[in-house]
Amino acid sequence: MTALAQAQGLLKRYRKGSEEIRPVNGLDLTIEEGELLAIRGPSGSGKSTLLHLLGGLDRPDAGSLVVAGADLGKLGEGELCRFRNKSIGFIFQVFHLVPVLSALENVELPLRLMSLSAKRRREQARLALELVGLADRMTHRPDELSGGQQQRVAIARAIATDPKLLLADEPTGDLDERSGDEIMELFLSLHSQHKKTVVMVTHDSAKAARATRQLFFHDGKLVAKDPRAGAAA
Amino acid sequence: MKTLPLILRNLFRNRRRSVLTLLGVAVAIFVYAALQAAVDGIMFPVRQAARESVLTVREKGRATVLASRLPGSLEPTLSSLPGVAQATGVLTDLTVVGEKRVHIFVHGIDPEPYRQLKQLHVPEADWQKFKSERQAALVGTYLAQQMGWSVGQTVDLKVFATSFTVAALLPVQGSDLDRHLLLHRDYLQSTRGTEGRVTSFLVRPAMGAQESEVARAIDERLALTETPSETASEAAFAQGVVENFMGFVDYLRVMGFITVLVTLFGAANAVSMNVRERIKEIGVLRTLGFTPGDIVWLVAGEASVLSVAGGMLGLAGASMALGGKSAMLAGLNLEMGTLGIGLAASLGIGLIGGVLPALSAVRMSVVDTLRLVD
Repeated sequence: MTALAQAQGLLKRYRKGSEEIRPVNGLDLTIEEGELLAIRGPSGSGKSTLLHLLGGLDRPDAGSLVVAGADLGKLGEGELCRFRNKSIGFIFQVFHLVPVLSALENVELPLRLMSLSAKRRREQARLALELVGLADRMTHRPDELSGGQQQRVAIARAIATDPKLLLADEPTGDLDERSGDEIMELFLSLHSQHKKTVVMVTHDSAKAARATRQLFFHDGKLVAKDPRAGAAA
Repeated sequence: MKTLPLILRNLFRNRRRSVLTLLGVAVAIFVYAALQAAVDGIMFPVRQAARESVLTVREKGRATVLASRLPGSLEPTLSSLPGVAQATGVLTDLTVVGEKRVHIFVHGIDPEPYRQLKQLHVPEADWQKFKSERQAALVGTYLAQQMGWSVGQTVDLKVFATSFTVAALLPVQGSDLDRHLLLHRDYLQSTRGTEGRVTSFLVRPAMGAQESEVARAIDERLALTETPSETASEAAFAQGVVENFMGFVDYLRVMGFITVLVTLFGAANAVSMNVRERIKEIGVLRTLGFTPGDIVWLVAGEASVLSVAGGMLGLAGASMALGGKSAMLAGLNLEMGTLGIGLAASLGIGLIGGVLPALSAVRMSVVDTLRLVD
């Protein structure tokens, strides 16, 4: 296996009043290409901050972070934008689709930033929607779709550019159990059949258990065992 | 281009706000165009006169050319003065005609010298028709349209005790003669009972001669005659007439500027509200790879499309309301330049009103906007 992302001594800090908070504190992590990694931990433990760092939305204060061959600490703003567009697919808890655009147009958004013909762009967006099982909902706007369908559109938007790494922040957190299970199945399918590398933050231990690897946040670092349960993941 | 579809869709996101913003810009640009049309209406004679290098000689101490009386026999004297290329006497009168009570200027002219001096571009056949008939007239195109006069028609101006036949229309729309009537000088003198008299002389200085020097030479030459003169360029004369209105002109200009400025604030406020409501969405677009420049173009583009559409609506309204014949008679003059500036101002309102909120949106870090989500 090849390492897709590698963090060494990663540090992120910010001030809250007079107190310095270190949500990520000297973290070491290697993400192998093709793995489905679940990250768990209590609220505010730094899970989302780690995703933001991995996705180039935030910059580390110390340490090194290389994702898909890019040293994120050294990239300029424009390079980070291109990196996010080409190498990363984000999926959020609350979908974040553009309400005035159809499902197909939402999926086309990141493709608009690439040098593609309109025909090729549309074709690629269609394929992504077909892959998530929404071939019959392409012209629907977000308010005409269920929560589960909206999250599928968001996943289609994330995979449309064929990124190297999918980052999912509580992707089933806003869904009912059935829809949540369907979305989890979709992630498993993307991982097993389409060889996508996925890092997923979740509170749901059952869903996390289906990942190829689980890690737990503890004191700004990742550990293999859940420190609260004292049991192996 | 990559954000254009999103720009167009976003215009319909909050329709009421979009329509109100568009109407606000439309009204502002209409008001600007109306004020500028009033300014240009006042300044019209000055600008027209400034295009010609012609001096006007009139009787000293007379408030207007209409009250001036000079002997026509001075023409050879003036023509022979150093620095004078050509001089011709003109008898000018003012009358009111038609049910609409349109004010028109009637000029009695000596055809050939006047044609050369004013550089009239009249088709030769029309000119010969005018020249050969004593009661023939050349009529400004705009005036003919207003009065419903056509070529060949004989018009009896009873109130003026004059009748004439329209020989041709002056084809120079927009010139200072567009609302004027030209008759043969000797014919007009006979109907007015002013044989041998003119109201003014038009003088063209010779090439290289200073207008002010020529004007002084004329006034010095006529100073000791029965009719001392006052000579000025047509532009200076017209400027003098409008001088009293300059305070009002400045006031209109300031009001036009303030109107555009107020609209700019209004548009910026509407765009700011849009941006505030969509700050999370802007953050998500940035996670997809949209650069700060893309976001600024997106927001400013939306504001500009809305503003330019409003501007075009306002200018279309202005063209209909202020560009017509009755508006010109009322002293308003809507020029192409005003339409161009109005369009540029509406684009400026959109760009400035959009860029400032957009810049504040992209200054916020992506992570902070996503935290707002949570």
